Amino acid sequence: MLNNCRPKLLKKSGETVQLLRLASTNFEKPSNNGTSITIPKRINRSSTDILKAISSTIQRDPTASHYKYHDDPYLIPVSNFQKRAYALSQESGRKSAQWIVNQNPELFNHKVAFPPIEKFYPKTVYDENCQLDENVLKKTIEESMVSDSITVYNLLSQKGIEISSETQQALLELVCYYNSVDDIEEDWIEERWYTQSNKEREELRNTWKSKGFANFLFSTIKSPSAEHYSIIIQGMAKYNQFDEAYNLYKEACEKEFVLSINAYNSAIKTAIYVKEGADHKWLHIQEILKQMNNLGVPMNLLTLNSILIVLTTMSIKQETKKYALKTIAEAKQFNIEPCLASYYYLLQIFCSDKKMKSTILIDILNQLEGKSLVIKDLADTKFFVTAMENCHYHLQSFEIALRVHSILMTKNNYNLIGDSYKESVYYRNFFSILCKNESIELLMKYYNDLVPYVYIPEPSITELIVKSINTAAATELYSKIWSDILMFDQADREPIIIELTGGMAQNLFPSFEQPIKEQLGKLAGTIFDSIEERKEAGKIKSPWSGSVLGNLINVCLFGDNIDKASEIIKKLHTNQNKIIGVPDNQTIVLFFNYCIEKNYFNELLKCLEYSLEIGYVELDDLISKTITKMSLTPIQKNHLSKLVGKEFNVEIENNAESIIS
Amino acid sequence: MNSSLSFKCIPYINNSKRIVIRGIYCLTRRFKSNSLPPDDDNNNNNTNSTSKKHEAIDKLNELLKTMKKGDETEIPNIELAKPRQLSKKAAQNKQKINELEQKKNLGVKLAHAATSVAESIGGDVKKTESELLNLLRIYNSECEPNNLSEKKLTSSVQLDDLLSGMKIDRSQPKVNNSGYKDMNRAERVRELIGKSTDIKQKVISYNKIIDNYVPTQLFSSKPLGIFTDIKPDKDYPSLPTWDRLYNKSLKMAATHPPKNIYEQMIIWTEQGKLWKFPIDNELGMDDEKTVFFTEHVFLEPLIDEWCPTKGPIRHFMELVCTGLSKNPFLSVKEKKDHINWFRQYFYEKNQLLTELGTCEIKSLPTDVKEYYKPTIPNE
Repeated sequence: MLNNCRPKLLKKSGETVQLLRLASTNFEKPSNNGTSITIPKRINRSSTDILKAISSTIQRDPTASHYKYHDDPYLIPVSNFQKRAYALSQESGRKSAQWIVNQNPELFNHKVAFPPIEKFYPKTVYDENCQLDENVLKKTIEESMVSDSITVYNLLSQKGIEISSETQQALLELVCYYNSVDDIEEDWIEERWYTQSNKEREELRNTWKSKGFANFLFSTIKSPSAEHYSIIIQGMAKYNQFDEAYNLYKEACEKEFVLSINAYNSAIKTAIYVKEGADHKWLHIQEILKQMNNLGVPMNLLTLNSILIVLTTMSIKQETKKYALKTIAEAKQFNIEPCLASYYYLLQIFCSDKKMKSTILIDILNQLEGKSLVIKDLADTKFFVTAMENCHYHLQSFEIALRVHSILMTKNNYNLIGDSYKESVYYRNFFSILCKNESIELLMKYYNDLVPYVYIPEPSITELIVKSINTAAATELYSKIWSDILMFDQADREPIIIELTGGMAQNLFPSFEQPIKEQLGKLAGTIFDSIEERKEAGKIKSPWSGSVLGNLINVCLFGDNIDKASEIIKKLHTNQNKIIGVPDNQTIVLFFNYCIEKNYFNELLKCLEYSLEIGYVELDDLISKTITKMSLTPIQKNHLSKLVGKEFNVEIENNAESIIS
Repeated sequence: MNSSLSFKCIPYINNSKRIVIRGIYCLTRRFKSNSLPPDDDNNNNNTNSTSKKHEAIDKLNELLKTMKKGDETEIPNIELAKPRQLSKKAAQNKQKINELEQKKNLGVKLAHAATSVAESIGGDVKKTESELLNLLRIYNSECEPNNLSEKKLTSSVQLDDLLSGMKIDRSQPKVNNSGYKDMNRAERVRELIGKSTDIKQKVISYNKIIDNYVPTQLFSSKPLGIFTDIKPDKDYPSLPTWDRLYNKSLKMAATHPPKNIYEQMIIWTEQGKLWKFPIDNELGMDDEKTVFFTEHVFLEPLIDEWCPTKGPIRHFMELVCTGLSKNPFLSVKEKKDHINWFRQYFYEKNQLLTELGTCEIKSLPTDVKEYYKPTIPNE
């Protein structure tokens, strides 16, 4: 009945239509299938969920620079150096502001917000005059302030205030975790983004502070418990003090303590330095695992990863591969899924052999595809860069590289890229594979998408890209790539220039239309000018090479840019001592022919002067050709004979006449 | 000519970089003057197939010798360095892929050089071949009419060189009566590439490790069998602070510079610099969350127990209650204290009140704070 009414009602005012909608939904529902309405349960949202949802709707704009550079269009970086400098200086500004607040806390007493924002408070300074108790220590530990906690602890012990064993343990955990040194503050995201990999490189050597507060605190504990042993072992193993960690582990075993899982993991890791030879290392691992089993301590993901780390340091490849797979199977029994770090170690174990290539990456990718990955181990961030490197050097396959890339791009997996260094290594490998294996169209598709805002190619990659363009004879891309080279500040790289000019000179096809030809000619002129400019400014130290200039002349002539071509000839002539090598024979012939054809006598003279000094072989023919083909005025003839020498000129003229007659 | 050139260059030879450049220059010069352009070769081939064969082999040998000696610094040898140096990319590829290949015979080596160039252009072989062919056709049709066929190739990927070399080698078995001269160069190449199936196979076996893909079963290996006796309720030490710090560093390792303002706002929210969503005006008033609004609004019950039922004091206290019930800045406790302050005040004035005969405040609340004690005015 309602449906019948609808047309009539629709004609009426908007209100009626609204009413009708309400009515129809109410009426229709029970009539459809008689189910009652179930109110969904309330989903508890965190305070950032809505922001995350909005943020996920924003797609990356390949034509826009990174968000952090948006503030000032003048400061949009176009080279790797600028990217780093701008990002870090922005953060440095924030740091200095905070420094001022900390230096002059009395000036910042006004409350800018209610409820007050603790982040904006000046840093608390702890000294003898403070009212201190254990709660202050608890608070500083809670805030992970290492140096403050140490100060407060010292002040408390000076005043003779007892600390509960729980707080003492927490303090020991804190100082062991950070090796008694303050970590980079949470706020400095850029600093971490740019310096993380330096820190990781440092991680390879023993950085444990043997005279640090952690050791001191441990020594003050009269009868250390299993917890204390666990903490100090974990701390030492984290900073590669393996010898002492292993000694303490043995000490704890003698006392028949049950340690934490991570302490056992750390003990496993000590095999890297404590034991030599694959057999001993493997025995060491097995021993500890058996110990864990006897005490009823289960393994976890980090146990798996620790074993795999030790396996990467073993030299017998066949055995280690077997061990690695067995360990993974063992972990699988307890529903422990390998994380990215485990796969990273697997790649290292399986693919270190250059002769016996392994395709294990494909199996790993089969596992990872379509998953939303979460960081579970600090080494997880090393996976993607290693996988891409593997695609490049090991498998040499772009299809696999693309699979890796698509996994990186799913959901929030990009967070696992690591840091700026890893990101650029990742893309360096990605582009190398592209350049070596794929067509120029595909290369440019990715190039346009990622360059320059995500990745700026290193000079070696730029060279590869130029090579690809040369190979594909994609002449239309030369102007783009040249402007990019200028932008990335790589015009001072000689290999790139040689490659580019060589490629341009090689890919000149007469069937091009006139405008394209002219464009190329102009481009060659621009290349000459901008390199010249850089040489004068002292940015490029190495001198011009004759072959590069020759190539540029070729392109200039091809594009009817005779002015530039003769300028280059002049340059060659006047700076003979500075320029290494001479242009090709072919170039000179081309220049002569061009001048003869277009009747450019002055330019021809310049070239002739130069060629005479250099001593080209086929000059006789060229001069005779000039005389015969060009209609010269007597003055011009005079010039020519002066240059060539009278007798020679007469000889040539005679020859020419004889040819004509 | 050459002597005058080298004389010119002597002053610069100290600089090693310049030597290389000069070397390259010399190399290109000599390459041109010594070796005939490929088309000339073909003309010879046309006249005599056996001589062609020899020539081809000689040429190959020449070429390959130069490749071997490439690293030496002597000037004549620098000429040889060029193919190697410039096709560095291809050579690297090759070395990485198979070191054993090095000891194979020369023809194979050249073929491999060609294949690795092919590899650098395209993924699958067919595509690569068609591309190479295409490129060659362009070269052919473009260059020949302009007499540029022996044009210098400065680019590293010396397709022309490599392919013309391959062509000579592989065209041997083919008896061609029609003569190359009249034939289109592209046609020739197309034929050759089509015929050389052996090369194709080599490319496959050499190029694609992925074709030999043997799945590695990651999880179906036999377990170590060490963990047999796991009781889930077993007690072992846990380190809460350590775990918290570990999780914190995990989170920081996956936190990167924000990509848009919303990510920035997420970070600010987590740091406590921004109001939390959903935004209302009760941020930070966590104590009030447990208090129902009636306690804020209905304050009369608090005065009922002590205040007289009528009269100016009652009137006054009702006004106080109304005022307090509208005050958003005080907590319930503060409001109660406020009322108790008056209660205490009037209690102090009991004497005066009884004198006036209005009423009497009977009792004091038990838990009145010190500072709410009114200072009794000295009259």
